[in-house]
Amino acid sequence: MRLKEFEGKEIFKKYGIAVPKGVLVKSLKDLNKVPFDECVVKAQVLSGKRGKSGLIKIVDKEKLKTEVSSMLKKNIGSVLVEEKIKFDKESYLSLSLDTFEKKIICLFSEEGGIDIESLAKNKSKIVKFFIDDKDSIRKGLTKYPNVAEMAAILYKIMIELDAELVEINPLATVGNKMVALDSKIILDDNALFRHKEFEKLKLEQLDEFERKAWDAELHFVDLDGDVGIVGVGAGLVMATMDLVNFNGMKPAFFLDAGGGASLERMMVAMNIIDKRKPKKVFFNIFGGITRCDEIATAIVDYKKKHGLKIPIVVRIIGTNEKEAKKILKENSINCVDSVEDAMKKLKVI
Amino acid sequence: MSILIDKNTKAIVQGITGKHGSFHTALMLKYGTKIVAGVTPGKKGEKVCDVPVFDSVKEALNKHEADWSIIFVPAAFTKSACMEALENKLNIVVITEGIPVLDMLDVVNFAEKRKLHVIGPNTPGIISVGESKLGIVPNNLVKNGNVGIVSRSGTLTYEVVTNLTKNNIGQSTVVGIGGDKIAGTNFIDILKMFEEDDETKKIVLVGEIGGNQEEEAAKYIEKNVSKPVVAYISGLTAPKGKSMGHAGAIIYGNVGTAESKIEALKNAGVKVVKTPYEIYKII
Repeated sequence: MRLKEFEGKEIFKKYGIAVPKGVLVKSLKDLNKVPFDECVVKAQVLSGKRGKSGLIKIVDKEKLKTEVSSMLKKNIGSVLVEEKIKFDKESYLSLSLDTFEKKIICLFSEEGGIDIESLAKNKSKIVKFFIDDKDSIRKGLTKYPNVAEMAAILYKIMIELDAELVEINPLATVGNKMVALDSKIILDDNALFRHKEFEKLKLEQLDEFERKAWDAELHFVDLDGDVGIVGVGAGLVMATMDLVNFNGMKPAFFLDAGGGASLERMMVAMNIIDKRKPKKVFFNIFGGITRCDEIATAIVDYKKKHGLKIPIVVRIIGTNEKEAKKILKENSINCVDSVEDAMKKLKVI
Repeated sequence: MSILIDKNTKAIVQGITGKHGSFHTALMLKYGTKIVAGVTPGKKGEKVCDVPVFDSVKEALNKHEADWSIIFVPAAFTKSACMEALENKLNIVVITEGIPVLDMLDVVNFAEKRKLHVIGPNTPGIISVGESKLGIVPNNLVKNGNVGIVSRSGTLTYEVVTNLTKNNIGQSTVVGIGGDKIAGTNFIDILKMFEEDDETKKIVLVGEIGGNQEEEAAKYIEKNVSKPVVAYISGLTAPKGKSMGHAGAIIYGNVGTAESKIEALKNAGVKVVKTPYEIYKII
């Protein structure tokens, strides 16, 4: 889960990293609390490249209200108004996971304020090292003792909060001090069970369907087409989503009920399908540890109880396949033997 | 011959008394796997399918010899279960899904220092066809043959194996390396073993979006793998910034796209198929 800038900066403050003075503005009346003459106005959204999309503006006090109200009108929940500070230079600092090397990696560049991908092209300017212990930070940044101190704090944040990424870009130098002008923190969803305060934030980020899925431990990703994609195992659901796209149709969502999905979990999946209302649904089921007949029963039961009207195509193979097909056919649900047949059927229903 | 495990492999199961642990212990025994003991703290003296249960790995190993442990412990306790197995010099297969990534980082670095294997997490495990199975791959899908399969996805592994078996193409060893961000064993480790294994003549690699494992594997294949490799990568049409079911299946910016993986593999001379259902035609 990615944190918003102001949430990240709250964490920075708690750990002793300096950030500019700021006021979180949720409605125009909050502007009374803003004492700065020159302000940086920053939309608190999770998308990157805010500068390029006009979501970060530098304004003086007179124009503040116009700018903030135009941002709030764009359905942006909150805006961070910060004091514009003068600085000597901007740099880049981050700690993240190198999943291939299986280590925490520290990246520092004297050139900051631009995105790390363009930074990566100019390798000579980047200091890059793995962190095995606290000593490796000091050793990796011997030339930059101030930065080393900052990196040690980021390491502490990463370990204590189960972060996958902690980034300061730009990291400003003001005299002999360093100030974090921005924050980017990604926390590990799988570790939220031991960080209840952030689990709450995560739930706030979810929409109605994502929330239902999260509670039942299903994986749901909303997409913008009209064919709902359902399965029991992430890889196959993703492959099915690709296949539907390759066949000129557009997936409405990705819904993985997980290997070994119980009847109960399948009923939640059916409820999400029903409420999300795609034009049609494709179940591509491989029952390994999941029993195919349980999936078929869930579909049929839900339909009987709640009168699901969305047309369904099911391709189902694996454990108890015959029983499943019998259940589906007896209840007049489209049941096909191959994905090729499923594609043909999906185009005509 | 096969890779990682064979008919003489002896294993214990951690979390053997749980729903999944007990169910799959029965299936592994049925396949012929030598499960010599199980571990669930507090359940010493019980039996699961005639397999004796102990309170700790150490106690189990005082009475029984083993080289592997299959771990079915809930995510919050998986790290300590893994550490316990590794401290007792066991290789591990971690079936559990949803383990914090920093927990896994500690586990794999600990294992690396001790030169022990970690397969997974979030994996269906390993099956050496006709010899032994550590994990949850359904028993009836595989057929004896000479195709080695390595995959980041469980269900896609089952699809690919079924598809090959139906078309009379058998497998040597099938390894799921797992769908999490940190995998104890990666494509390169398994490719190296398949290259050295006499029984394996061809290799299937099933990858997906997220990370750069496939790109690194491509470089490795170009230099070190003489056997033909066919690859399938899922997630070509996945949106950016969203985990697609697997924690590791996520595109950040331009890192981890299917396009980049497919291009790297093709450049390394690997045949890349567009759907998992066409592998049998190429191989």
